[in-house]
Amino acid sequence: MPGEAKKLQRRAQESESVLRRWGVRFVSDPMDRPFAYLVLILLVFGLIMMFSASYASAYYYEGNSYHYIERQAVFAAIGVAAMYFLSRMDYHIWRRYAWPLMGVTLVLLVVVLFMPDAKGTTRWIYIGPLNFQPSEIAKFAVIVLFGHIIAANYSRMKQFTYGVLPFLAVLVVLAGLMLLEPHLSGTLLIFAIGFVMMFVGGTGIVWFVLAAGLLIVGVAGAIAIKPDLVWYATDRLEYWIDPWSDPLDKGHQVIQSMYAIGSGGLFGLGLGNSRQKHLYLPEPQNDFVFAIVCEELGFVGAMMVIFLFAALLWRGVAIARRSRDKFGAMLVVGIVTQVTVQAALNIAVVTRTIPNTGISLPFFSYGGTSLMMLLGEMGIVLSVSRQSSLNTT
Amino acid sequence: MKRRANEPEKTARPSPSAVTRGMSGRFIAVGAGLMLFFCVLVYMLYTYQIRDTQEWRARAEEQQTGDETIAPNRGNIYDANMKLLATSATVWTVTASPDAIHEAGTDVAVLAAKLAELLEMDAAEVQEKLTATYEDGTYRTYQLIKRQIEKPVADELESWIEEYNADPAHKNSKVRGITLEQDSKRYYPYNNLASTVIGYVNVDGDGVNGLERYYNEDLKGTPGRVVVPQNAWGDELPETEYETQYDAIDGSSLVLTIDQTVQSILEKQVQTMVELNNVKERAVGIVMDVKTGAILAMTTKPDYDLNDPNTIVDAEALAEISAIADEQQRQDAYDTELWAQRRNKAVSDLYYPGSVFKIITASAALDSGKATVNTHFTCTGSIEVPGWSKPIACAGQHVQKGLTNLSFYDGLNYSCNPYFVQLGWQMGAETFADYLNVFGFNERTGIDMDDEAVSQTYSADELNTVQLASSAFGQSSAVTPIAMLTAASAAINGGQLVVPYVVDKVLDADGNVVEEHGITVKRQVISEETSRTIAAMLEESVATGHGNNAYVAGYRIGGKSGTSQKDQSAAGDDETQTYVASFFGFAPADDPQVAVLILADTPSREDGNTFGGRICGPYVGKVMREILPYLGVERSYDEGEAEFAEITLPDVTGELLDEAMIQLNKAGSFNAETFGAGTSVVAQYPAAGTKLAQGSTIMLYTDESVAAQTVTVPNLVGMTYEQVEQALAAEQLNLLPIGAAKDSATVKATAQNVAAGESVQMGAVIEVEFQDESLID
Repeated sequence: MPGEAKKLQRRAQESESVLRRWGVRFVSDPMDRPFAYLVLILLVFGLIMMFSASYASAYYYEGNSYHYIERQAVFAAIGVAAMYFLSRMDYHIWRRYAWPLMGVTLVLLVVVLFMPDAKGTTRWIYIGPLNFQPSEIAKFAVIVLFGHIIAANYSRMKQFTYGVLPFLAVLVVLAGLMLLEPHLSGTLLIFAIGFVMMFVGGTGIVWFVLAAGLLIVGVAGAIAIKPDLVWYATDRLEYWIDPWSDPLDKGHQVIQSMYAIGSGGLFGLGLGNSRQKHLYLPEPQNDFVFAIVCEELGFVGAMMVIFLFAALLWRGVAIARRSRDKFGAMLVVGIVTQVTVQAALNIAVVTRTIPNTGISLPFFSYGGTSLMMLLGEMGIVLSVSRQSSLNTT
Repeated sequence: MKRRANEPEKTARPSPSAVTRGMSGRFIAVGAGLMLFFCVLVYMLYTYQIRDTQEWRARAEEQQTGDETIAPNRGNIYDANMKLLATSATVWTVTASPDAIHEAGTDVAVLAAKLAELLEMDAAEVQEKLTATYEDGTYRTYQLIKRQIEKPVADELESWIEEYNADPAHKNSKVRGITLEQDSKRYYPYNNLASTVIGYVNVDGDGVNGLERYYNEDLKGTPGRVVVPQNAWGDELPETEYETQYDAIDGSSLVLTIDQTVQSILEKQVQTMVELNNVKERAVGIVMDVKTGAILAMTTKPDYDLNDPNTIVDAEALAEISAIADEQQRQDAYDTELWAQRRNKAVSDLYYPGSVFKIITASAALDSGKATVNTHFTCTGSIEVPGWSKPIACAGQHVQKGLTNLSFYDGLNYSCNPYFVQLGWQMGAETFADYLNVFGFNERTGIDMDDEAVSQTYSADELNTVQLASSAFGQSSAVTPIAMLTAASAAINGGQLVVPYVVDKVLDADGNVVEEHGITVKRQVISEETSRTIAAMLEESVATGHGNNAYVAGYRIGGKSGTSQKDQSAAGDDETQTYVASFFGFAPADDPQVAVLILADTPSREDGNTFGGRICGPYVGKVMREILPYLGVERSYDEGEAEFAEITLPDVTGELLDEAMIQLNKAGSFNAETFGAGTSVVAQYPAAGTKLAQGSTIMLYTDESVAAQTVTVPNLVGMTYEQVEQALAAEQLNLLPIGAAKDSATVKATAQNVAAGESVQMGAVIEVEFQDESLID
């Protein structure tokens, strides 16, 4: 018996050594439970609301009320499995593949330009029944790569050559490719994540001030030189200021969104009772799902959503601070920033606080591959938490 | 606890890869920034969901709810015996939302073809409606496809859409945006009957003219509402939580004083009058209860079909309009003609009443005491009127009879204009104008009908010698037929001017009486005694005098004819002059119950006769003859009339021959002709129950082998009364005389109810109309 046990142990060690050659290592320390619970709560909450928001349009356009929720649930299940797997995997593997990942991303960003047109843009890559946006992968690649660079060059981050130049080079190349799709909102999000990571990673503040100035000049220049490149953006700006100038087309979605939010009141019409989802608000399962949350659950429900994202941020900060190393911390910073910024911008769009940019609400909006990736990223944050000093409590 | 113990260790020996304070601090700063942004969003949500929620909710609900109207059922219109004259049935209106159709990806060609097929429309036209856009190119949200489709068609359309949408092949091209709205359609079971009185209803369910318009608010009811949640395509949402219903209140029904039977009789006679006398313009007939003012029948000809109110009936007028080249002018002319066709000329149009008005002048003269029945005036054929270029001629025939010193009765009976000119002058302008007033000629009668015109008369100041003269014989006051009838009725009903009315009762949807009309006496206009005198004179005039054409044996009918010149100027050319003929009759003269006024505008007979006594008098008589028995007025024959008394033939079949003869003699003094060798009667002709005059001959068959004897009806028109009697007797036919039946050289048969040359059984009753051709007004 002891001999058998030894044999099994050795076999396990052997297989582990194969994985180890690829940089895979498993960690069994406990993860940060509050963060995990927040993710699961957001996931379940998001699925329920997405289902509620989508069933009317699913019925009318797809002939099946469960059309969206069925797909989303499958991806959620796979995503939860991926989350657990990635949480068990030592996150340092990502440091090893930081550059190759960026390489793959760039290839995909080129490939996507040859994909079929959808609404005047090419953002999706189709592989059989699956489709995904390379910009989603680009966000993750940026997070990993920036984390890696910052961890390596932390002491020299104040210098331009280490603290600004490599980041800027990556961002400019990515932005260039993404604007060809064109995908302005994704570009802006990547810039936001990148800048936050640079800032937290120690880049001198003076460079941000300078970048802000350059950004303004750059955007102004781009619009002046090639207005059709960003035609949809300028359009959206116009109908943000006055959506009623074209209430049936360009201003339609925002107006309908405001009707939904406003008619929710303090406690909402009740779960499932949205009336705006009955074909008034276009694609209520996508970017504007939050409006349906507001209509059905009221101000109280909206506050719950914001609270959950804020809590996720707070827990992310806690994990990052107590990370075992700078790379882990930066991964958490990037991922948590991505989720929170995206949520904040989405809610801002839905409430007409900023122009309509086409940013989805994490956990809530329909989109299988992006939900799966999101959950995977959550797994990485949990993986970081396993090695943090938090788990010692 | 453990973590606390670890911390000092970390700070004491920092690893080069460890997270620094700066990093933490900066991340916290980013987090704080994001929290700040979240605060902005919370504020935004507060503005939408708490501060302005009412406004947003209202705006959202406006688009989310369909406000469906529940149309109330329009009330019915019944005649006095609750016969249905107007009723409503549920129909549907088909509308489309091109926007919803486009959104749903509906196959427009298929839908248009199906709609065109079901609704009997042009497919291209339907398709155009289904794809209609606004000026900016976006699809419209509302298009009317067709109104007033019947239930089977609506059902078929609904089930087709349901089936089509259920087919999986149409999963992405379902039919959307077609709505069936409930509506109602008006039906008039009697078509043309009393059309200008009843009026019709437009597609919006509002009365356009007649009672439908005057009583629109009562008939219409109050619409109800259902507020239902619906999706952006206009489909109702299954949830009923928000559905609110406000029931419709159905409209009230009207019960008219008009009696369909009396109305039919009047219309038949007026129509016959129009046809036989080639009446070019309007013809009007009114039957009124003289005591209460209840209108029993009212018609104007030509009339129209209430179920097809937008078609011009007058073919001549239509041809003229169609010939107009300019489209706008043509349309205008068409509309004008339509409105003329629909107008109730009995109430809305004026005419010069002519000699019928002498009833009023006579009543005024007697009642005021300015004249008595013994007041005599001289007329030798005409009278000079100071200020008028031509002498006023006398139409009456008293001069031929050597009568020049006329009594009051003579003046009225012969309808002598010079007599009335002098009577008017004797009365004076003040008195005459006073009586115009009290008889109601300067106000509306107040009948419950739309668009009543006010008669036009001269005031005391305006009544100079000429106007007073012409007004006195009815040539200067333009009056409405209804005003003339109510005034004349007041003159003979005991002196009471009543308000005429058409609606007897208003019933609510449950049949409860909510409003009841009845007699409304405006005032006593002349004394009862004067009224009796006038009635008696008018009865005498019909029985033996100039009103004889309206005579009905067995009934005490009073009446006065009238003929007026339409062009009343002094320059009026006699050759081109046109006339309005009329006759006012009432019965029974000793206790008047009903009055009839019939008016014919521009009769154009070949013989040129335009006199009211000739044109309208016989038809007033015929109407009386039919309606009086119906209204339960008993016939009573005086001695001179005995031969005209109609007797109901008893059933003598099965009786022995001698017993049959006894029975026939008991019933009246009938003659009998027998055929066959039998001893008892196996058949009789005419049949039992037939009304016959005294002295008629009855054919009795005693043997079944004997065939019914037939004879050919001779042509009787143009014969005198005696000639007719002989001609019919020769053929073993029986005579039933109608009208001015008496043996006189001027009384001629004008019509027979069985055409000459037709074969009838021996003993058949031939109704023959007699008229005195010589009678003029």
